[in-house]
Amino acid sequence: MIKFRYNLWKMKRGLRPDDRFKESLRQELDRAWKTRYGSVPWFQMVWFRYAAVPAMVLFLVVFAGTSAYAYTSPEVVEGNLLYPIKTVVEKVEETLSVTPAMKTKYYIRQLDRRYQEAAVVEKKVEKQPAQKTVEAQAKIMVKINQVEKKLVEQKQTIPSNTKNEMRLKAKIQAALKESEVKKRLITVPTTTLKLPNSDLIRKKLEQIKREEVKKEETKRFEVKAGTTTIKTRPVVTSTIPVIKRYRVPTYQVPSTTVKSPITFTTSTLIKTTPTTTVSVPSTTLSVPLPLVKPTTTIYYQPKVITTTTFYRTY
Amino acid sequence: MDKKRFQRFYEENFDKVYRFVLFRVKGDREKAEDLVSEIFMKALEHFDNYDESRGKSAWLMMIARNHVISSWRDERITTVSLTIEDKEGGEVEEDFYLINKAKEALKTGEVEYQIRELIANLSEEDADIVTFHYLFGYSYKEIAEMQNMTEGAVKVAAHRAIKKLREHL
Repeated sequence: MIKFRYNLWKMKRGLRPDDRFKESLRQELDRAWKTRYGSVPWFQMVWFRYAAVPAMVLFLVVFAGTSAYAYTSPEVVEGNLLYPIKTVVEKVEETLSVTPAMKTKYYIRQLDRRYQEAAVVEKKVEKQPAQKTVEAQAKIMVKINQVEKKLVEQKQTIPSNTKNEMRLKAKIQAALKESEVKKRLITVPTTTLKLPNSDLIRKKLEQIKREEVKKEETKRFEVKAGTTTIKTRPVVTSTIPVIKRYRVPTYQVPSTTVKSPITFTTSTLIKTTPTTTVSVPSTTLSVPLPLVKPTTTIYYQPKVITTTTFYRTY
Repeated sequence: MDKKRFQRFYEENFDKVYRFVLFRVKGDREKAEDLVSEIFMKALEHFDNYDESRGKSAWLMMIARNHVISSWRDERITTVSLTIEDKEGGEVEEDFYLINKAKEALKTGEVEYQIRELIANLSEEDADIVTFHYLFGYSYKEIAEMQNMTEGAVKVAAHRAIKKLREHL
Protein backbone atom coordinates (compact mmCIF):
# COMPACT_ATOMS: atom_id res chain seq x y z
CA MET A 1 0.00 0.00 0.00
CA ILE A 2 2.77 2.39 1.02
CA LYS A 3 4.77 1.64 -2.09
CA PHE A 4 1.77 2.26 -4.28
CA ARG A 5 1.07 5.55 -2.59
CA TYR A 6 4.72 6.46 -2.94
CA ASN A 7 4.48 5.78 -6.66
CA LEU A 8 1.39 7.93 -6.88
CA TRP A 9 3.21 10.75 -5.03
CA LYS A 10 6.16 10.38 -7.42
CA MET A 11 3.80 10.61 -10.35
CA LYS A 12 2.14 13.67 -8.83
CA ARG A 13 5.55 15.29 -8.51
CA GLY A 14 6.17 14.56 -12.17
CA LEU A 15 3.00 16.46 -13.04
CA ARG A 16 4.23 19.61 -11.30
CA PRO A 17 3.85 22.77 -13.39
CA ASP A 18 6.75 24.90 -14.49
CA ASP A 19 7.06 28.07 -12.36
CA ARG A 20 8.03 30.22 -15.35
CA PHE A 21 4.92 29.15 -17.19
CA LYS A 22 2.81 29.93 -14.15
CA GLU A 23 4.30 33.40 -13.90
CA SER A 24 3.99 34.17 -17.61
CA LEU A 25 0.37 33.01 -17.61
CA ARG A 26 -0.31 35.22 -14.59
CA GLN A 27 1.04 38.23 -16.46
CA GLU A 28 -0.92 37.32 -19.56
CA LEU A 29 -4.09 37.08 -17.49
CA ASP A 30 -3.30 40.46 -15.93
CA ARG A 31 -3.13 42.04 -19.36
CA ALA A 32 -6.31 40.26 -20.43
CA TRP A 33 -8.04 41.50 -17.29
CA LYS A 34 -7.02 45.08 -18.00
CA THR A 35 -8.26 44.83 -21.57
CA ARG A 36 -11.55 43.31 -20.52
CA TYR A 37 -12.37 45.13 -17.32
CA GLY A 38 -9.98 48.10 -17.37
CA SER A 39 -7.54 48.93 -14.63
CA VAL A 40 -8.99 49.26 -11.17
CA PRO A 41 -9.39 52.88 -10.00
CA TRP A 42 -7.52 53.69 -6.82
CA PHE A 43 -10.67 54.04 -4.75
CA GLN A 44 -11.72 50.49 -5.59
CA MET A 45 -8.43 48.96 -4.60
CA VAL A 46 -8.48 46.59 -1.65
CA TRP A 47 -5.94 48.57 0.38
CA PHE A 48 -8.11 51.66 0.02
CA ARG A 49 -11.19 49.80 1.17
CA TYR A 50 -9.42 48.75 4.36
CA ALA A 51 -7.71 52.09 4.89
CA ALA A 52 -10.67 54.32 4.06
CA VAL A 53 -12.71 53.81 7.23
CA PRO A 54 -9.90 54.33 9.79
CA ALA A 55 -8.58 57.23 7.73
CA MET A 56 -12.01 58.82 7.63
CA VAL A 57 -12.50 58.37 11.37
CA LEU A 58 -9.06 59.82 12.04
CA PHE A 59 -9.75 62.72 9.74
CA LEU A 60 -13.08 63.45 11.40
CA VAL A 61 -11.56 63.31 14.87
CA VAL A 62 -8.68 65.56 13.90
CA PHE A 63 -10.93 67.89 11.94
CA ALA A 64 -13.50 68.12 14.73
CA GLY A 65 -10.79 68.73 17.31
CA THR A 66 -9.09 71.37 15.22
CA SER A 67 -12.38 73.09 14.46
CA ALA A 68 -13.37 73.09 18.13
CA TYR A 69 -9.99 74.53 19.10
CA ALA A 70 -10.10 77.12 16.32
CA TYR A 71 -13.60 78.16 17.30
CA THR A 72 -13.12 78.41 21.03
CA SER A 73 -9.60 79.74 21.33
CA PRO A 74 -9.11 83.52 21.26
CA GLU A 75 -5.48 82.80 20.38
CA VAL A 76 -6.62 81.99 16.86
CA VAL A 77 -6.48 85.41 15.28
CA GLU A 78 -6.13 86.84 11.80
CA GLY A 79 -3.01 85.41 10.21
CA ASN A 80 -3.22 82.13 12.10
CA LEU A 81 -3.49 78.96 10.03
CA LEU A 82 -6.70 77.95 11.78
CA TYR A 83 -8.39 81.30 11.36
CA PRO A 84 -10.21 80.34 8.11
CA ILE A 85 -11.71 77.34 9.96
CA LYS A 86 -12.85 79.65 12.72
CA THR A 87 -14.49 81.93 10.17
CA VAL A 88 -16.29 79.03 8.50
CA VAL A 89 -17.55 77.64 11.81
CA GLU A 90 -18.81 81.09 12.78
CA LYS A 91 -20.60 81.42 9.44
CA VAL A 92 -22.27 78.07 10.02
CA GLU A 93 -23.29 79.20 13.49
CA GLU A 94 -24.75 82.39 12.03
CA THR A 95 -26.71 80.43 9.46
CA LEU A 96 -28.07 78.12 12.14
CA SER A 97 -29.18 81.01 14.33
CA VAL A 98 -32.69 81.43 13.04
CA THR A 99 -34.70 83.27 15.66
CA PRO A 100 -34.03 86.94 16.55
CA ALA A 101 -33.03 85.91 20.07
CA MET A 102 -30.49 83.42 18.74
CA LYS A 103 -29.14 85.93 16.27
CA THR A 104 -28.79 88.58 18.98
CA LYS A 105 -26.98 86.12 21.23
CA TYR A 106 -24.71 85.15 18.38
CA TYR A 107 -23.76 88.73 17.47
CA ILE A 108 -23.07 89.66 21.09
CA ARG A 109 -20.86 86.59 21.36
CA GLN A 110 -19.14 87.64 18.15
CA LEU A 111 -18.38 91.04 19.63
CA ASP A 112 -16.85 89.40 22.71
CA ARG A 113 -14.73 87.15 20.57
CA ARG A 114 -13.43 90.02 18.48
CA TYR A 115 -12.41 91.96 21.59
CA GLN A 116 -10.66 88.88 22.93
CA GLU A 117 -8.80 88.62 19.66
CA ALA A 118 -7.87 92.29 19.86
CA ALA A 119 -6.38 91.67 23.31
CA VAL A 120 -4.36 88.74 21.98
CA VAL A 121 -3.09 90.82 19.08
CA GLU A 122 -2.10 93.57 21.47
CA LYS A 123 -0.09 91.12 23.54
CA LYS A 124 1.67 89.92 20.45
CA VAL A 125 3.12 93.31 19.76
CA GLU A 126 6.24 92.34 21.70
CA LYS A 127 6.94 89.53 19.29
CA GLN A 128 6.09 90.97 15.92
CA PRO A 129 6.65 94.20 14.01
CA ALA A 130 4.39 97.09 14.99
CA GLN A 131 3.08 97.37 11.46
CA LYS A 132 1.69 93.85 11.61
CA THR A 133 -0.08 94.54 14.87
CA VAL A 134 -1.57 97.73 13.51
CA GLU A 135 -2.89 95.89 10.49
CA ALA A 136 -4.30 93.04 12.55
CA GLN A 137 -6.03 95.42 14.93
CA ALA A 138 -7.39 97.46 12.06
CA LYS A 139 -8.90 94.29 10.58
CA ILE A 140 -10.45 93.38 13.91
CA MET A 141 -11.86 96.88 14.19
CA VAL A 142 -13.49 96.50 10.79
CA LYS A 143 -15.06 93.24 11.92
CA ILE A 144 -16.24 94.80 15.15
CA ASN A 145 -17.90 97.58 13.19
CA GLN A 146 -19.60 95.02 10.96
CA VAL A 147 -20.97 93.11 13.93
CA GLU A 148 -22.13 96.34 15.52
CA LYS A 149 -23.92 97.23 12.31
CA LYS A 150 -25.64 93.88 12.29
CA LEU A 151 -26.66 94.36 15.91
CA VAL A 152 -28.16 97.72 15.07
CA GLU A 153 -30.07 96.18 12.18
CA GLN A 154 -31.22 93.40 14.46
CA LYS A 155 -32.40 95.94 17.00
CA GLN A 156 -34.41 97.74 14.34
CA THR A 157 -36.15 94.58 13.17
CA ILE A 158 -37.22 93.48 16.63
CA PRO A 159 -40.61 94.99 17.57
CA SER A 160 -41.22 96.34 21.06
CA ASN A 161 -44.44 94.45 21.80
CA THR A 162 -43.54 91.98 24.49
CA LYS A 163 -41.35 92.06 27.54
CA ASN A 164 -38.93 89.61 26.00
CA GLU A 165 -38.53 91.75 22.90
CA MET A 166 -37.86 94.75 25.05
CA ARG A 167 -35.30 92.80 27.02
CA LEU A 168 -33.65 91.69 23.82
CA LYS A 169 -33.44 95.23 22.57
CA ALA A 170 -31.97 96.34 25.86
CA LYS A 171 -29.39 93.63 25.63
CA ILE A 172 -28.38 94.86 22.19
CA GLN A 173 -28.21 98.40 23.46
CA ALA A 174 -26.02 97.33 26.36
CA ALA A 175 -23.74 95.34 24.10
CA LEU A 176 -23.34 98.30 21.77
CA LYS A 177 -22.53 100.62 24.66
CA GLU A 178 -20.05 98.15 26.05
CA SER A 179 -18.47 97.82 22.66
CA GLU A 180 -18.17 101.55 22.37
CA VAL A 181 -16.18 101.71 25.59
CA LYS A 182 -14.09 98.69 24.80
CA LYS A 183 -13.27 100.12 21.41
CA ARG A 184 -11.74 103.11 23.07
CA LEU A 185 -9.59 100.82 25.15
CA ILE A 186 -8.01 99.10 22.26
CA THR A 187 -4.51 100.43 22.04
CA VAL A 188 -3.38 100.93 18.56
CA PRO A 189 0.37 101.01 18.25
CA THR A 190 1.82 103.57 15.97
CA THR A 191 4.01 102.69 13.19
CA THR A 192 7.63 103.16 13.94
CA LEU A 193 8.11 106.52 15.47
CA LYS A 194 11.55 107.88 14.92
CA LEU A 195 13.14 110.02 17.60
CA PRO A 196 15.47 111.05 19.39
CA ASN A 197 14.05 114.19 20.75
CA SER A 198 13.30 113.75 24.40
CA ASP A 199 10.98 116.77 24.55
CA LEU A 200 8.85 115.48 21.79
CA ILE A 201 8.70 112.08 23.35
CA ARG A 202 7.76 113.61 26.66
CA LYS A 203 5.02 115.62 25.01
CA LYS A 204 3.69 112.60 23.24
CA LEU A 205 3.68 110.51 26.37
CA GLU A 206 2.01 113.23 28.36
CA GLN A 207 -0.71 113.37 25.78
CA ILE A 208 -1.18 109.66 26.13
CA LYS A 209 -1.27 109.95 29.88
CA ARG A 210 -3.98 112.60 29.70
CA GLU A 211 -6.09 110.38 27.50
CA GLU A 212 -5.65 107.46 29.80
CA VAL A 213 -6.67 109.48 32.83
CA LYS A 214 -9.76 110.53 30.95
CA LYS A 215 -10.55 106.98 30.23
CA GLU A 216 -10.30 105.97 33.85
CA GLU A 217 -13.34 108.07 34.56
CA THR A 218 -15.49 105.69 32.55
CA LYS A 219 -15.86 102.77 34.87
CA ARG A 220 -19.40 101.69 35.01
CA PHE A 221 -22.53 102.69 33.22
CA GLU A 222 -26.12 101.70 33.12
CA VAL A 223 -28.41 101.25 30.26
CA LYS A 224 -32.05 101.83 30.61
CA ALA A 225 -34.43 100.41 28.09
CA GLY A 226 -38.11 100.43 28.68
CA THR A 227 -38.77 99.18 32.15
CA THR A 228 -35.73 96.92 32.28
CA THR A 229 -32.47 98.11 33.74
CA ILE A 230 -29.44 96.16 32.74
CA LYS A 231 -26.18 96.59 34.50
CA THR A 232 -23.22 95.78 32.41
CA ARG A 233 -20.10 94.50 34.00
CA PRO A 234 -17.42 97.14 34.58
CA VAL A 235 -15.39 97.28 31.48
CA VAL A 236 -12.93 99.83 32.71
CA THR A 237 -11.28 99.12 35.99
CA SER A 238 -9.11 101.29 38.09
CA THR A 239 -6.07 99.45 36.94
CA ILE A 240 -6.25 99.95 33.27
CA PRO A 241 -3.52 97.93 31.65
CA VAL A 242 -1.77 100.93 30.32
CA ILE A 243 1.75 100.24 31.36
CA LYS A 244 3.22 100.96 28.05
CA ARG A 245 6.55 100.10 26.76
CA TYR A 246 8.45 102.54 24.74
CA ARG A 247 11.33 101.24 22.86
CA VAL A 248 14.24 103.57 22.50
CA PRO A 249 16.91 101.70 20.71
CA THR A 250 20.51 102.68 20.63
CA TYR A 251 22.91 101.62 18.07
CA GLN A 252 26.58 102.06 17.42
CA VAL A 253 27.15 102.69 13.80
CA PRO A 254 30.48 101.32 12.71
CA SER A 255 31.01 103.54 9.73
CA THR A 256 31.84 107.23 9.79
CA THR A 257 29.73 108.11 6.80
CA VAL A 258 26.32 106.85 7.51
CA LYS A 259 23.22 107.54 5.59
CA SER A 260 19.97 107.64 7.40
CA PRO A 261 17.68 105.95 8.12
CA ILE A 262 19.27 103.30 10.29
CA THR A 263 17.32 100.86 12.36
CA PHE A 264 18.30 100.18 15.92
CA THR A 265 18.45 96.79 17.44
CA THR A 266 19.20 97.21 21.12
CA SER A 267 16.77 99.05 23.29
CA THR A 268 15.98 100.56 26.64
CA LEU A 269 12.52 100.41 28.06
CA ILE A 270 10.75 103.39 29.48
CA LYS A 271 7.57 102.71 31.35
CA THR A 272 4.62 104.89 32.01
CA THR A 273 1.44 104.41 33.95
CA PRO A 274 -1.56 106.70 34.28
CA THR A 275 -0.32 107.86 37.64
CA THR A 276 3.36 108.23 37.09
CA THR A 277 5.04 110.88 35.13
CA VAL A 278 6.70 109.81 32.01
CA SER A 279 10.34 110.36 32.00
CA VAL A 280 12.76 109.56 29.32
CA PRO A 281 16.22 109.00 30.64
CA SER A 282 18.57 111.36 28.99
CA THR A 283 21.26 108.72 28.84
CA THR A 284 19.17 106.69 26.51
CA LEU A 285 18.73 109.45 24.08
CA SER A 286 22.20 110.84 24.02
CA VAL A 287 23.38 108.03 21.98
CA PRO A 288 27.08 107.81 21.43
CA LEU A 289 27.25 107.45 17.75
CA PRO A 290 28.28 109.01 14.54
CA LEU A 291 24.72 109.15 13.30
CA VAL A 292 21.59 108.03 14.95
CA LYS A 293 18.20 107.36 13.72
CA PRO A 294 16.73 105.60 16.67
CA THR A 295 13.30 104.15 16.43
CA THR A 296 10.64 103.68 18.98
CA THR A 297 7.20 102.27 19.10
CA ILE A 298 4.66 104.19 21.08
CA TYR A 299 1.23 103.02 21.99
CA TYR A 300 -1.40 105.50 22.72
CA GLN A 301 -5.11 105.94 22.75
CA PRO A 302 -7.43 106.44 21.05
CA LYS A 303 -6.71 104.79 17.76
CA VAL A 304 -4.69 107.38 16.03
CA ILE A 305 -1.76 106.34 14.01
CA THR A 306 0.93 108.93 13.82
CA THR A 307 4.29 108.64 12.29
CA THR A 308 6.76 111.27 13.13
CA THR A 309 10.22 111.24 11.78
CA PHE A 310 13.11 112.86 13.50
CA TYR A 311 16.53 113.02 12.10
CA ARG A 312 19.57 113.83 13.97
CA THR A 313 22.74 114.82 12.31
CA TYR A 314 26.13 115.30 13.77
CA MET B 1 -15.09 42.95 -10.90
CA ASP B 2 -12.64 42.02 -8.21
CA LYS B 3 -9.22 41.45 -9.68
CA LYS B 4 -7.75 40.31 -6.38
CA ARG B 5 -10.41 37.63 -6.17
CA PHE B 6 -9.47 36.34 -9.59
CA GLN B 7 -5.79 36.34 -8.67
CA ARG B 8 -6.57 34.31 -5.56
CA PHE B 9 -8.68 31.96 -7.66
CA TYR B 10 -5.76 31.53 -10.07
CA GLU B 11 -3.27 30.79 -7.29
CA GLU B 12 -5.57 28.24 -5.69
CA ASN B 13 -6.42 26.36 -8.86
CA PHE B 14 -3.50 26.67 -11.22
CA ASP B 15 -1.48 23.65 -9.99
CA LYS B 16 -4.49 21.35 -9.83
CA VAL B 17 -5.78 22.26 -13.27
CA TYR B 18 -2.33 21.99 -14.78
CA ARG B 19 -1.85 18.49 -13.34
CA PHE B 20 -5.30 17.49 -14.53
CA VAL B 21 -4.63 18.67 -18.08
CA LEU B 22 -1.10 17.26 -18.18
CA PHE B 23 -2.44 13.91 -17.03
CA ARG B 24 -5.15 13.99 -19.68
CA VAL B 25 -2.76 14.88 -22.51
CA LYS B 26 -0.45 12.17 -21.28
CA GLY B 27 2.52 14.25 -20.30
CA ASP B 28 2.67 16.55 -23.34
CA ARG B 29 3.75 19.71 -21.48
CA GLU B 30 3.59 22.00 -24.49
CA LYS B 31 0.05 21.03 -25.23
CA ALA B 32 -0.88 21.14 -21.55
CA GLU B 33 0.41 24.71 -21.28
CA ASP B 34 -1.64 25.79 -24.28
CA LEU B 35 -4.75 24.20 -22.88
CA VAL B 36 -4.24 25.58 -19.37
CA SER B 37 -3.79 29.09 -20.81
CA GLU B 38 -7.02 28.72 -22.78
CA ILE B 39 -8.87 27.33 -19.76
CA PHE B 40 -7.89 30.27 -17.56
CA MET B 41 -8.69 32.76 -20.31
CA LYS B 42 -12.16 31.22 -20.53
CA ALA B 43 -12.47 31.38 -16.78
CA LEU B 44 -11.51 35.06 -16.84
CA GLU B 45 -14.10 35.82 -19.51
CA HIS B 46 -16.88 34.14 -17.54
CA PHE B 47 -15.67 35.01 -14.07
CA ASP B 48 -18.96 36.81 -13.42
CA ASN B 49 -20.62 33.37 -13.27
CA TYR B 50 -18.22 32.01 -10.70
CA ASP B 51 -19.98 31.33 -7.44
CA GLU B 52 -17.61 30.24 -4.72
CA SER B 53 -20.43 29.00 -2.52
CA ARG B 54 -21.29 26.30 -5.05
CA GLY B 55 -17.83 24.76 -4.77
CA LYS B 56 -14.41 26.28 -5.12
CA SER B 57 -13.09 24.00 -7.85
CA ALA B 58 -16.12 22.47 -9.52
CA TRP B 59 -16.75 25.41 -11.85
CA LEU B 60 -13.20 25.55 -13.19
CA MET B 61 -12.96 21.78 -13.41
CA MET B 62 -16.08 21.72 -15.58
CA ILE B 63 -14.47 24.29 -17.92
CA ALA B 64 -11.22 22.30 -17.94
CA ARG B 65 -12.94 18.99 -18.68
CA ASN B 66 -15.02 20.45 -21.51
CA HIS B 67 -12.03 22.22 -22.95
CA VAL B 68 -9.85 19.12 -22.95
CA ILE B 69 -12.63 17.11 -24.55
CA SER B 70 -13.20 19.76 -27.22
CA SER B 71 -9.47 19.85 -27.92
CA TRP B 72 -9.49 16.09 -28.49
CA ARG B 73 -12.45 16.46 -30.77
CA ASP B 74 -10.68 19.17 -32.71
CA GLU B 75 -7.59 17.08 -33.20
CA ARG B 76 -9.66 14.03 -34.00
CA ILE B 77 -7.73 11.95 -31.52
CA THR B 78 -9.61 9.00 -30.20
CA THR B 79 -8.95 8.05 -26.65
CA VAL B 80 -9.55 5.13 -24.36
CA SER B 81 -13.15 6.16 -23.97
CA LEU B 82 -14.11 5.10 -27.49
CA THR B 83 -17.63 3.77 -27.72
CA ILE B 84 -18.74 0.90 -29.91
CA GLU B 85 -20.28 3.32 -32.38
CA ASP B 86 -17.01 5.22 -32.55
CA LYS B 87 -15.15 2.09 -33.41
CA GLU B 88 -17.08 2.02 -36.61
CA GLY B 89 -14.76 4.79 -37.61
CA GLY B 90 -12.22 2.23 -38.69
CA GLU B 91 -8.80 0.90 -38.09
CA VAL B 92 -7.00 4.20 -38.47
CA GLU B 93 -8.34 5.47 -35.16
CA GLU B 94 -7.39 2.23 -33.46
CA ASP B 95 -3.87 2.64 -34.85
CA PHE B 96 -3.66 6.12 -33.47
CA TYR B 97 -4.67 4.83 -30.10
CA LEU B 98 -1.99 2.15 -30.13
CA ILE B 99 0.71 4.55 -31.28
CA ASN B 100 -0.21 7.02 -28.58
CA LYS B 101 -0.11 4.29 -26.01
CA ALA B 102 3.36 3.26 -27.07
CA LYS B 103 4.58 6.83 -27.10
CA GLU B 104 3.17 7.36 -23.67
CA ALA B 105 4.83 4.25 -22.31
CA LEU B 106 8.19 5.48 -23.51
CA LYS B 107 7.60 8.95 -22.19
CA THR B 108 6.28 8.27 -18.76
CA GLY B 109 8.17 5.19 -17.76
CA GLU B 110 7.09 1.76 -16.84
CA VAL B 111 5.64 2.35 -13.34
CA GLU B 112 3.74 5.42 -14.38
CA TYR B 113 2.39 3.61 -17.36
CA GLN B 114 1.29 0.76 -15.14
CA ILE B 115 -0.47 3.11 -12.78
CA ARG B 116 -2.27 4.80 -15.64
CA GLU B 117 -3.38 1.42 -16.90
CA LEU B 118 -4.61 0.37 -13.49
CA ILE B 119 -6.48 3.60 -12.98
CA ALA B 120 -8.07 3.20 -16.39
CA ASN B 121 -9.38 -0.17 -15.26
CA LEU B 122 -11.21 1.37 -12.32
CA SER B 123 -14.77 2.62 -12.55
CA GLU B 124 -15.02 6.21 -13.79
CA GLU B 125 -15.99 7.50 -10.35
CA ASP B 126 -13.19 5.66 -8.52
CA ALA B 127 -10.66 6.71 -11.14
CA ASP B 128 -11.69 10.32 -10.75
CA ILE B 129 -11.45 10.17 -6.97
CA VAL B 130 -8.00 8.57 -7.04
CA THR B 131 -6.55 10.85 -9.68
CA PHE B 132 -8.07 14.03 -8.29
CA HIS B 133 -6.92 13.36 -4.77
CA TYR B 134 -3.58 11.62 -5.21
CA LEU B 135 -2.37 13.12 -8.46
CA PHE B 136 -3.95 16.53 -8.89
CA GLY B 137 -4.01 17.52 -5.22
CA TYR B 138 -7.71 18.15 -4.62
CA SER B 139 -8.98 17.75 -1.08
CA TYR B 140 -11.70 15.23 -0.23
CA LYS B 141 -14.06 18.11 0.37
CA GLU B 142 -13.48 19.56 -3.11
CA ILE B 143 -13.93 16.14 -4.70
CA ALA B 144 -17.15 15.65 -2.72
CA GLU B 145 -18.45 18.97 -4.10
CA MET B 146 -17.56 17.96 -7.65
CA GLN B 147 -19.02 14.45 -7.39
CA ASN B 148 -22.07 15.44 -5.33
CA MET B 149 -21.04 13.07 -2.55
CA THR B 150 -20.36 13.45 1.12
CA GLU B 151 -16.78 13.88 2.25
CA GLY B 152 -16.93 10.62 4.19
CA ALA B 153 -18.16 8.72 1.17
CA VAL B 154 -15.30 10.09 -0.91
CA LYS B 155 -12.78 9.02 1.71
CA VAL B 156 -14.17 5.48 1.80
CA ALA B 157 -14.26 5.29 -1.99
CA ALA B 158 -10.66 6.49 -2.24
CA HIS B 159 -9.47 3.97 0.30
CA ARG B 160 -11.27 1.13 -1.49
CA ALA B 161 -9.93 2.20 -4.86
CA ILE B 162 -6.36 2.29 -3.61
CA LYS B 163 -6.80 -1.14 -2.09
CA LYS B 164 -8.12 -2.42 -5.39
CA LEU B 165 -5.21 -0.90 -7.31
CA ARG B 166 -2.68 -2.39 -4.92
CA GLU B 167 -4.18 -5.81 -5.40
CA HIS B 168 -3.80 -5.50 -9.16
CA LEU B 169 -0.24 -4.14 -9.02
